[in-house]
Amino acid sequence: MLTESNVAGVYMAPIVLYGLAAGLVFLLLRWVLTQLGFWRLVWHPGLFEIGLFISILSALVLVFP
Amino acid sequence: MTRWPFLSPGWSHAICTTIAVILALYVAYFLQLESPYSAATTVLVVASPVHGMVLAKSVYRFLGTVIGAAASVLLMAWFAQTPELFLLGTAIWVGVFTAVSSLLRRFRAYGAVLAGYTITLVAFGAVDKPLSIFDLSMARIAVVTTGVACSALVTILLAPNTASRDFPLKLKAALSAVADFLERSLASMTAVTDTGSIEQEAAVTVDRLKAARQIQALDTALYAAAAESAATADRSGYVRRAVTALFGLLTSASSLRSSGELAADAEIRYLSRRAVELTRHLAHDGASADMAADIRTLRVESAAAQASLDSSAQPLAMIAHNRLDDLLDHLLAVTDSLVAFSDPHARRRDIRLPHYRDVPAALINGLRGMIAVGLLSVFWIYTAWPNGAQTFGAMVPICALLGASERQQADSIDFFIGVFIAALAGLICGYGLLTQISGFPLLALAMAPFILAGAYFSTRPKTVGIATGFLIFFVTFVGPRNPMQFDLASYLNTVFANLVGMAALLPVFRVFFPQHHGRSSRNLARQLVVGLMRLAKRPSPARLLRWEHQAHDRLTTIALRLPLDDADRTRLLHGGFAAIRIGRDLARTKAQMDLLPLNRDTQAAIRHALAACRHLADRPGRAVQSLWVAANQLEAGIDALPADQVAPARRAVAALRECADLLVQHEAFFTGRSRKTLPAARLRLQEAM
Repeated sequence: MLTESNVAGVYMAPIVLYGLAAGLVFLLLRWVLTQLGFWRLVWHPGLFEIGLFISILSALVLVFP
Repeated sequence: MTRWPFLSPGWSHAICTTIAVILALYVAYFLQLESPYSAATTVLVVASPVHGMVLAKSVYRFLGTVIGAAASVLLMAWFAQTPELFLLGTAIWVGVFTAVSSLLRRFRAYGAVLAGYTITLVAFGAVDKPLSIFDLSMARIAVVTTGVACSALVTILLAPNTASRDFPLKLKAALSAVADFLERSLASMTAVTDTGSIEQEAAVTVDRLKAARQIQALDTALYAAAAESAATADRSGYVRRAVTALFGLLTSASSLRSSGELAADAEIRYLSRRAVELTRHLAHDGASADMAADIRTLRVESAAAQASLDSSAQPLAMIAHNRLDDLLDHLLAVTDSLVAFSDPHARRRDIRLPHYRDVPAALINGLRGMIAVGLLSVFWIYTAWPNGAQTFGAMVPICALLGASERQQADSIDFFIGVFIAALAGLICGYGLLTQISGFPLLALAMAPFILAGAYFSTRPKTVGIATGFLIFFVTFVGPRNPMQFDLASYLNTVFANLVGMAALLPVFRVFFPQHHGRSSRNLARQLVVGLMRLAKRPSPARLLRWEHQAHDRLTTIALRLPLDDADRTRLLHGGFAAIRIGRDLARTKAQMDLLPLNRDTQAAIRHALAACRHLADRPGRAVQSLWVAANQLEAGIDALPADQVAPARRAVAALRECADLLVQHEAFFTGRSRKTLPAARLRLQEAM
């Protein structure tokens, strides 16, 4: 479970950690999809990427409340 | 940089910038301004290795700040109690000024961007204390004025007048590049009778791109030199005229080259060779009255050669002579303009040749800015994040500034990296060094290495985006204040808010109207054709000059925007050259029509052809038909003209036929449709022979 973290005496909000974790998963998934040539099938890659990131972030928040 | 000959230009610029930053900080502290770091940021924003650029940019930074600060006061006065309306007003203001900036060039564009985003730096600081908005606005204007004044002072004292000194060198480089292009393109036309090998074409394309770049650089250098010297500014109209004529030289040489085998008669070969020699001479020795006289002599020889062509001469030979005449006219315009420019007693000539304005791109940039502010506002209202205002301060300025960039997505990533590095460097400087020292000299000493390194890397093309992001945000993060405050929690919150703002920028450029160079280039080409159709309505020399200048401007943008191996690039550029030829031919025909004693039917046919050209994109077939009818009618009446009017009339016939020929050859370019409806051009020419 992701909770507030103490960085140099400063408490960081959980969403920061969720965001960082989602960012890492997103970058990994994006690399895999690039290797598979997936982006050729997508109408608007930028929009798809945003959707993918938000989905990952939401999934993390739901799975690790 | 002659004042510090032992340093490279990059390090000279870095040292000048660092001194100016320290001076601005000192003055801001001395005047007890509330946020001295903003004065330092101003210095970093207006910093440029070119003296004139700093002065010109400073003026627009000041004006943009005043307008933005005034708007902040108004918005806060109207909507202090209704944050939704306040944010909506901000979104509209930012969108409108981002769009306006996209319609302008250089520092006028920067001034407009600044007028837009200053609101996020001033008004958002007063969200919690609306009554402080006037004080904040005045404080902002004060620090920006301090920064501008310090930057100008240091530049005047330490940076030499590089633009004034470099301008003649840049002029020489541009003339040499044009001479190289003319030599290669015309030599291959006259040496062989076919259109040349693929390698030759590629070399000609590269030479043309190089020459176009040099001419465009000349335009920018003139802007800086005019800012440094009133004498240069007074006579800059002549150089603007020369710049347009240099672009015209490139176009007319390309057209002459494409005339191919039928153009390769002995006279054209000789005259082309002489034109190349004179251009080389112009690049090497500079313009002189003697050289202008030589070109005029050549022009007379060309007219005589054209007049000596008998009536059985092939239409393409006449067309090639028209193209050569245009080339010589452009060369003469370059020489005359440069002779006048170098003459200190020459009459001041105000030639205004506005750049093209890409309205669709401006609307897209404005809309994107508006959407970005709108979405961030929704996020802020929904989360009620205490540091939310700072995300605007990071995202909105960069979003507005990158509107004019040719590589928005890559630049936004560069800026993000720069901000990230600035966050780390700010932590080291602010909490590792500054907490251990006291006093201004040590503060300056602690910050100087970071600014020095950032300013140096901002002069290198590969790192300019990262370094600029770093410099602006490093000073903001360290935030030298009066008095200095150290609060790690506040620092981390500020950094995080700015990084979130920058991160939000990445999807903005990827999702909302992502840049598509192919599409935007096709739009530019379309605008060029629309301009041609407007020109056909009244093809006067003054309108032709303005339109031709904008056409060259658009074609240079397309040439620099699309990669060399892009098929669309070749199609659009060749189509653009054809459009310029048609524009000149229409102007030539109209001029001849006014001079020649033509009968009523012929005049009506020519008028009808010009009218048909006003709709050439929608009805190309009708335009071609009308042009042919006018050409045939004019040709049929040539025998009835006085002897001295025959040659001009035949030139007009050739011009009309060339228009029809080019329309058929480049039908897809003019109509914007790939389906070809017109018969092959050369066949029609042969039929007419």
